[in-house]
Amino acid sequence: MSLHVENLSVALSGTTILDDLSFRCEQGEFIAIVGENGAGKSTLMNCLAGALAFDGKITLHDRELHELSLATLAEYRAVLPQHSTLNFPLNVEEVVRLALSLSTLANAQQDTIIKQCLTMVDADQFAKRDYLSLSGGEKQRVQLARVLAQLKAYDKPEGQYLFLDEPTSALDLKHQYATLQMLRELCDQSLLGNLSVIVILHDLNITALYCDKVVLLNNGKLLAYDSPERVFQAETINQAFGVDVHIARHPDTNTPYLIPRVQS
Amino acid sequence: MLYSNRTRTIQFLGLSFSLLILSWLGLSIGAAKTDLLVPFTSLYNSFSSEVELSITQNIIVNIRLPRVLMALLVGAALAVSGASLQGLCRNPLADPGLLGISSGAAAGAVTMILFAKYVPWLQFAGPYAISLAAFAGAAIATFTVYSLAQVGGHIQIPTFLLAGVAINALSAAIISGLSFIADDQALRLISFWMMGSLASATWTTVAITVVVLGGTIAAIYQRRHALNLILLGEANARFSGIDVERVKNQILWLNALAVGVAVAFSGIIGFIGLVVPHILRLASDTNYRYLIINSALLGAGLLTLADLVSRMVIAPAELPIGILTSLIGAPFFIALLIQQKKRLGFSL
Repeated sequence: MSLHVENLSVALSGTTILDDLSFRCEQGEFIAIVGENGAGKSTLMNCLAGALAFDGKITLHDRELHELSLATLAEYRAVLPQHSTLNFPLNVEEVVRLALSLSTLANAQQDTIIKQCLTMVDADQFAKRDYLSLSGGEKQRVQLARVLAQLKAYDKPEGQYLFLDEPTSALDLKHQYATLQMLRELCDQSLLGNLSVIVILHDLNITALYCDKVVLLNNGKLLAYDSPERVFQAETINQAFGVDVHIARHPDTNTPYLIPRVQS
Repeated sequence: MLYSNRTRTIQFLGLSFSLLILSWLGLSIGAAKTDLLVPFTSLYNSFSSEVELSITQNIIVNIRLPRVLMALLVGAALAVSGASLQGLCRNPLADPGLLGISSGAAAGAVTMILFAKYVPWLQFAGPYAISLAAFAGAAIATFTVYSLAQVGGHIQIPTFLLAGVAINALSAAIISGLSFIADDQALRLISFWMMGSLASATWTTVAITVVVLGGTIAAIYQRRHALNLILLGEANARFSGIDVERVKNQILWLNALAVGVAVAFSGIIGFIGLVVPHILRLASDTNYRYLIINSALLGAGLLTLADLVSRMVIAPAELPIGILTSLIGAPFFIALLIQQKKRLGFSL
């Protein structure tokens, strides 16, 4: 029971975006997709989410992705795109409630899930506010609560997936760490049943602190797929990002800590 | 507290109650003087075959009642159509007029008004020839806008809006051109059509309208969850399990049907589709579970009120209803925009 990617390739109007990727995500794993701008991270996430046509094979719990209907997919995985826009007035609670539109849960159950999810992203204190009046980071947390609620609405013991495209891009320092910590705990404690998280991140040090594995993309190719410990080598980082780094150690966790070299 | 269930219940009950009052007034007030109880006796008598209807009672049962029902249905349909299009386009300024459907229908009607007498076989539909032409115009406009906006199997909403603008311009040109060559009698008929009127409502047209508009409103209400999720963007809606392309197709054609039929029987009535969802959003929020029902109620109420006023201001003559809805709608809309700018601190 897991997510398998075999020989995944994507070409859009003649240009190869993803080139022959293969990896698997096991239950409860917290995986980061990293790579320079234009490396194919969002394209990979769209393929995994079932939103883009591709060559090769992706299987979710031993069933090919394209065999699953949009409604079934929505029960097994939730996706948070980089940007979510809303042009109309809705309060925060209602935005999260949208995730439960297609579920058959009773109102009381829905209210419980909404409250839980808003608390998980530290947004319960502005549950009644107009979404449009929130700051960028607050909006991002509410959207995260929404996709968490989508998964909570369905009981899937065989495992669910959460795909997040740069979920911390608008967050302040406190909430960046709090969000990653919360996702880490979700994977560890299986508060949502069996949850696996795949997240696109730019901060490699945060990646090293919280993630089990790293998918390192370079020009659409899979440069490395392993633990942060193994992937974050000075040579590999230079190859992927063209940046010289010192590999230091985090004083608390002893995980790799990347410090860019500066010409003096 | 703005969005509490209590507020929603009050809103729903308030709208329903006002609608009942307005409908009753619509039956009681008109060129022929009647008192407020006459509708009751008229309706009662019309169901018992033994009593012959008096002239006043006849006016109420066969002239005012179909007219009020038509106002209710057309108002509800236009408002629901506007609400669904605004959600689909994720643009608060979308409305049936923007699609080009209304103007396409008018172009069809005007063409028929001018050329029917030269083509005898066009008379086959008798009094409904103009309505049929209006509906055909609506269908052609929708199909054109729809085909233009389809890129690689997807409906591109920005292209869709632009195509609507183009169709509107083209229809306006056709109408102006035909008005230029029309004689006085045809010109009067054209301007009557362009300004909207419910005066021609009969039990037959009401029957057709009940089926078509009732059906489309129900079908749009069925898609309330999809409309809600599309508010978050098409990608998010798809990720949440909605077949967005299919829903878009369905909503567009439902709108073409509703607006086509509404224009075919009552001419062009502006601003209901644009303003009604806005008023409701200001009063509460955008949840389509409530927005569609409340839009139907408020749209029906507003058009009934407008029709009532149009019959009263220069009685026994009538003011075209489209003039009233635009005359009240436009300043109201400007006020809404100003208020919204203040409320959000930025313009939409």
